[in-house]
Amino acid sequence: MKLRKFIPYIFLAPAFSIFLIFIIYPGVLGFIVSMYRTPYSFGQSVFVGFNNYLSIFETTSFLDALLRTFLFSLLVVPTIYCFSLGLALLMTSPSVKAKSVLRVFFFLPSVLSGVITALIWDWMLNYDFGFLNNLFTVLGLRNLPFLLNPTYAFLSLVLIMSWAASGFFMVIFIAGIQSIPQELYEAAEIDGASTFEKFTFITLPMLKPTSILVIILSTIQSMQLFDIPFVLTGGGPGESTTFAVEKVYNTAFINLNMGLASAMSFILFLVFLTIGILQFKVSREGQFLA
Amino acid sequence: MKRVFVILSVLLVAVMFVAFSQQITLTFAYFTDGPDLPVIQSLIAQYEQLHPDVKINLLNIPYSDYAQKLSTMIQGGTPPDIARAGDIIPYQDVALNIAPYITSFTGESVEEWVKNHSGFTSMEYWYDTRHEVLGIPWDAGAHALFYNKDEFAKADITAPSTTPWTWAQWESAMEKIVNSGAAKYALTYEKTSYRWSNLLYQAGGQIWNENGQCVINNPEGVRALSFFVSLFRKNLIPESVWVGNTPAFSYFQNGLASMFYSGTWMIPELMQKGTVNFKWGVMPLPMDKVNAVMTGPKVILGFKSTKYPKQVAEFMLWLTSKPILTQWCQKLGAIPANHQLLQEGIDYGNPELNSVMQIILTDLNKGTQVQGNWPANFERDWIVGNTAVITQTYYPRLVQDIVNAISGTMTPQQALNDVASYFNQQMANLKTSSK
Repeated sequence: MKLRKFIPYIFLAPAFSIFLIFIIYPGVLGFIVSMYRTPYSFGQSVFVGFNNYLSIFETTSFLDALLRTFLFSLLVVPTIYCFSLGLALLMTSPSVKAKSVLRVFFFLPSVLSGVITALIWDWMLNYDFGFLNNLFTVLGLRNLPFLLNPTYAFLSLVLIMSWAASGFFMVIFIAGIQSIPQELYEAAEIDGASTFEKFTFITLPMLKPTSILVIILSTIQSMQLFDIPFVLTGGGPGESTTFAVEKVYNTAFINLNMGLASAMSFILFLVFLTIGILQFKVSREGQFLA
Repeated sequence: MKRVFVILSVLLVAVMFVAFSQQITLTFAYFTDGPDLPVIQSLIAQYEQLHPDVKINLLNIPYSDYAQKLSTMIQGGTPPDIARAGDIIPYQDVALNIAPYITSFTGESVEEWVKNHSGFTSMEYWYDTRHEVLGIPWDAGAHALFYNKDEFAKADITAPSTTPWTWAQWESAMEKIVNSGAAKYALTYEKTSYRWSNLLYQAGGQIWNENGQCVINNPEGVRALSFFVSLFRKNLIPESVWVGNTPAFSYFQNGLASMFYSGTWMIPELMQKGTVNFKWGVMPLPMDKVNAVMTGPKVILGFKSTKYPKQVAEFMLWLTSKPILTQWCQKLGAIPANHQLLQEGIDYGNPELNSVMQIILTDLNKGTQVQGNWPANFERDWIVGNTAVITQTYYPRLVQDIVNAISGTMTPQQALNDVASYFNQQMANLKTSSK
């Protein structure tokens, strides 16, 4: 009888161990490292309390990267939402043929690694070697500095990230759309509702839980973005596409300042945690998790 | 008969067991610099044959991940036994002092060996200041200017082979290349602060003065950056390399740029069949006030934490010994970081490679950044002391500000003022934290 009481814990143990070893332990260790000044030459670290945290706020560099990350999320999340919802509507529309093939086609970008995505888009957008600019040259048009102008580079990344992520969220939306009872649409048709009215008064409200999930996941994904800008733009031009995670990477592995990088990571963790809690709170109010 | 066979088999297994149990494994963290992997593998095989009790486990890490992987290993308390590195400075507190093993391996006193071996002053510096030998300079790369012979012929330009071009002559040749339509761009220039600073030294500038103050924003520095920026403004260099993230070599390789400012480490790759489909050559670096050719040795170092310091030291000393280093340099077209070999010269055993190396070495010997004879300002900037630590730690700021000047968000003077103020601030922080 006593053993039965422990069975759930035994089943939980493997997952919990992984969580403990790979998430909690490095997290605690990271927090400890953030309290130390780690010399460039890997010598003896010196305890400095919260000095690393203070030095983050003394210079604007990390905060700029953080603000840039927020701005990026603010642009990319609605874009992903619109793209993936639009694709899901198309993929569930009775008038579209060969849906299975198209679904695979649209889903493919989300299985590519960030590095491959970045290389593909470099071949498309590069100023001298890119497909688009070569096409412009053939058409007698001027080359566009997609990755050389700070604004263009930033917007290019918004589109690339949306392209890469929309397929995955499309699948989630398709599941959401397919779970909407058909009776609602039939009743609306009897009442003479147009396609647009059916979308705004039935589809969108019924997709609220799915929408919240998509927004939460895409926000987290966009704020953690690292590989695509790292390979495609190297964080440039200037620092226009250097996001928070890349800033942490540069501090740790280029400036070799592990203490400061750990402090930045911890601040990032707190920011992500706050956003996560806020979003879950909103989703609870929307009865999403009820 | 059967019994004898069984006994012999058991004996053989026992001997093998004893042999293997006595074999030690040394982990060697390595990054490739051109097509050198088969060469290092064959040298390791040679060493293992000579020392059956030692196995070298080569960890080949891509260069782009190298600093991250190595620093993570060190921070995690599991550094390799041996590593290839671009510099000793970052590892000075964890590097193994091999001085106690030098005499027994080489038969020379440590002082004698340091003097004979060191083709570059960094090893002498560490020995003079700390009485330690923390790493051995292995081979060296020198900055080099490659050119596409076909495109030069098309533009009707003769590349200099002995006397360097002045900046003005170089620029006018670049204009001629672009205007003649021989190539879209005249020059592709690698995006690193080290590569750019060759222009700084040619202009007579420096990053730090003898009082430890960053003076990169002096008139010489501004002249170097203004000249560099002007080449972009005239569309002679592709912006995509510096403002974007496109590798400089791709422009040269595809015939889009006629000249490539890089270094000797590119020679083995260029000599490989199929890398480029045109005839290429090398020319002396251009000069402004000064004929400066920058070099930089790669070092091999051991780590204090190794269980086998003697074997680590012996492998390092063997790998950088004259006969082995000669093999290495001959196969890769490298410049040895060994004083005696530099004096004697190396026959690369290949007429094409010999002629290319001849131009580079002649230029190097004429320049002020000569091997074993670096001027104090260059050493301060990159090799020794806190000034070098700041340059090597915060060089991304210099790259970023050069990009700011190229993209027009800062003037060259503003860009270098920003670098100077940032570097000086970091120096002040370093001094405060080390008190």
